[in-house]
Amino acid sequence: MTNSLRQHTGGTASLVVGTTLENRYLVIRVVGSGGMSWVYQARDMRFPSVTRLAAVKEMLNPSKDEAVRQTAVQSFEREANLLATLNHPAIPRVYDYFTIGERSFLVMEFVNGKDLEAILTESNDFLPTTMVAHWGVELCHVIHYLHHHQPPVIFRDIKPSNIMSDEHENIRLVDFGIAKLFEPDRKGTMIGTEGYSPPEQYRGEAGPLSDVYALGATLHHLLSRRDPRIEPPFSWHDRPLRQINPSVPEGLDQAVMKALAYEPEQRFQDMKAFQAVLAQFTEGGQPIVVSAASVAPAVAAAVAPATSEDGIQPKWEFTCEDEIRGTPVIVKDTVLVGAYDNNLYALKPSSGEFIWKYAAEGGLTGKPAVFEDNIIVGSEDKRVHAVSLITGKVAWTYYTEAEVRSSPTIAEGHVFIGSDDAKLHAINVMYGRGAWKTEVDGPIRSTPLASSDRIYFGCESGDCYSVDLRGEIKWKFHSKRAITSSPCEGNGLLYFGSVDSLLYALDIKSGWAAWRFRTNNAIISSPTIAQGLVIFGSADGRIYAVDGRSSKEKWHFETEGQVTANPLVQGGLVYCGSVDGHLYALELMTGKLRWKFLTGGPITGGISANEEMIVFGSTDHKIYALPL
Amino acid sequence: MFRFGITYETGRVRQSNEDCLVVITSLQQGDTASPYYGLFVVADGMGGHEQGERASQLAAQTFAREVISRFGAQWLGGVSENSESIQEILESSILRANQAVMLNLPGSGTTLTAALVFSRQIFFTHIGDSRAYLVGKEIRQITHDHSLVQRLVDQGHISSEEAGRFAQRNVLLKAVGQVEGIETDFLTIPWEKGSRLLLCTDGLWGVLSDSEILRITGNYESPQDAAMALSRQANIMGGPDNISAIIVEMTGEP
Repeated sequence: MTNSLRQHTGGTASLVVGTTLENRYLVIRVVGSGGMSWVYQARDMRFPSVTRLAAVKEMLNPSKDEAVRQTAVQSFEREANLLATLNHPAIPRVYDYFTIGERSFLVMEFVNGKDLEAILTESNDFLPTTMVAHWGVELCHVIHYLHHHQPPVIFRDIKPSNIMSDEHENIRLVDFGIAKLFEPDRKGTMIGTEGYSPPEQYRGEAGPLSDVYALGATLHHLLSRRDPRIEPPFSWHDRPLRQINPSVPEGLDQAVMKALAYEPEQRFQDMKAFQAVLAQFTEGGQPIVVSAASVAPAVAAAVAPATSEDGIQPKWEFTCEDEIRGTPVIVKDTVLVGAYDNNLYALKPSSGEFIWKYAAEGGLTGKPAVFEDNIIVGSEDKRVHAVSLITGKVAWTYYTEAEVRSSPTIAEGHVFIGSDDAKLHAINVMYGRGAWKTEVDGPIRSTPLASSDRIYFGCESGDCYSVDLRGEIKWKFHSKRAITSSPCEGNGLLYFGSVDSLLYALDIKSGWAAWRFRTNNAIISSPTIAQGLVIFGSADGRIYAVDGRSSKEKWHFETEGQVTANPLVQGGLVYCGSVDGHLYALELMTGKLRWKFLTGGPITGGISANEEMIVFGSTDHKIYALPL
Repeated sequence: MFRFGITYETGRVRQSNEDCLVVITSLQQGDTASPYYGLFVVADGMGGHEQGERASQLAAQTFAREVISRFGAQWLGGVSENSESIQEILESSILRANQAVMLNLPGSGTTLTAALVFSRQIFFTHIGDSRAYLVGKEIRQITHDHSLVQRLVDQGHISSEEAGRFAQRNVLLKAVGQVEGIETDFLTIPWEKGSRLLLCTDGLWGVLSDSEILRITGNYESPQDAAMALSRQANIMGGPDNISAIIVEMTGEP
């Protein structure tokens, strides 16, 4: 006998193409490898006139201890003998086995086909559910055979890559995990990325119900296209099948989830029971009634709370002469709101009763700010107006060189406000005298944020700026499109959206991007922070909640229109308007809809609240007060 | 400025040390918003046949090299516009480390927990069950283990008390070098004044409770003395695994 093994010490394949093993098996190509084992396609030269192909599996026995090695070789031979006694069309025949030095070889029927993982990877869409159910039925059949063999065989490693569909489209179980016999007992950290294995298998216990689970995991992967090896184990309930792949029939979903029950006694108790349910979902399968008990509890509990469009009655409404695009404020028993009809309205919070109005010469789109008894607001008449809260009479006005669409921020005795004249203006709040201007690269429509002796604001040029209290630029960050969204601060970071569809988190001190979060359309909405979550809307129609420290999405809520309005968080709820005309109230931690309220036009402005109510405007010209 | 201490001990049971530590600190003075940055990495290799120690070192080195070439270059004024976010830099650097281990040391793997300290912020990236803590008046675990036992605790199948006795405590759900395109945890928090950053492998946190770590760390003014005291105590408790830790302090205004 020639020893055709290459000299080597490391864990590499020993056979090269063209070598003949045992004077009989000519290696044609390397088919695959996994850890300490390799598979070759070989031709059996005992049959010189016909091409009889064989699969040769090589396993390395790495132990240096002779006794350990002997034990491993003995178990290998025992397993190989067992495999040779199996007789089922879905199990490849074992032809031969032998051991040469530190390597053992198993020679089997060569299966010409593709494994299910490759089939899944190569398809661009979901596989037909009837086909997956059919595979499931065939697998149940062969696994049932194994479980009832004497002695019973537990497959232990059912997964798409161990299952092949052969040239006749029959299912074949190809890898009996015999290589596992050679893995040394590792001390220390081990790795368990199996993903398909049930909880008890991690504890070293495997029985027939472990194969039920692994088949369930395999079907879940095939139906959902979500690889369980890269998901946390036992997280199936986080990936509801029908939510991912709506074409999965409900009963099939229930059957897969039943197979995947954490406790073995809650799974199908044998392969026949699993097979009977799967059979209904094959081509031409007959529906049978699935018992309600087969529904996994977490699925049953996930019932959305009832939402009532009619349940919410406004406390009051007030109609202006034009659209309301700005955000109201509630202060000292007065609701103040600017409208596109050029007026700043003062209303009674209890009744919505009109107190006074102040007429500017252009539309008011921002949110007024209050300083002592004065209200400050910018207007498209290019001016910043200070109006007495008591009388509604002007205290001062300040001219910029273009429309003012930014909202004022008051800090350190000054009003900070941007203008379409591409300048940030610092104005003495008492007298309306300009203190300084900082020139930037484009119009400023975002509302400045004042924090720790710095002013932060976005610009239509796509830049976000940090300036000190003398107007000197400390840093500038560039995004690809306009930053209309106003920044907010938390965790040492500055958060804002950009029309480039990203939400940015910058290190507030240096202006470096800590992270960015991608949505599917422009972000004009200004983020707000609550319970560590950054809440904002996107023109992709969604309201998002993203963890402010990790950038991970916590939830999103789908509306029917663009969300350009600013959200408000109050009492554990997120309130946010949408261009679909609704104001939505969502649970802060889950994003679940509590209620929605329909107005007569898109809502693009923000919301204010006190203990009793929330107030917001709509482009239907109305201001609404809803009770809390 | 950074002040740091390390310990790197084989322990009393193992023959070799499969852990790896990397510390890089940088300073520039001049017109800069951020004169310091520091990169701190711990990795705990696995796989046997000397592969474990090579995996942790290869991963830590590849990761650190990537971070320096991307972040470090920007910090020295290399790129100014449309640069990558720190999350993107850390995640792609881990992916590089992942590829390097998969390619060169198949069958092995390693944990990797790293902190990039910059400006007043700490940026963490993490795979596996090595840990990051902030230790001040209290001790706060920052990272979340990618282990079977942690997963079972999260799902309510076992209590955190049972977790300490759980037989498969060492089964990881994720490790560098196992699968393509691995997902990492990212987290950023502001540096809390007066607190120390502790990165360590399970050879430390597996034998010392959080309160012991807090007490011992608090007894020493110097981070180096504190790190030594921690590994001494872990060895007294049997030293069943390699013990590695980095303790970092920030002195003065960053």
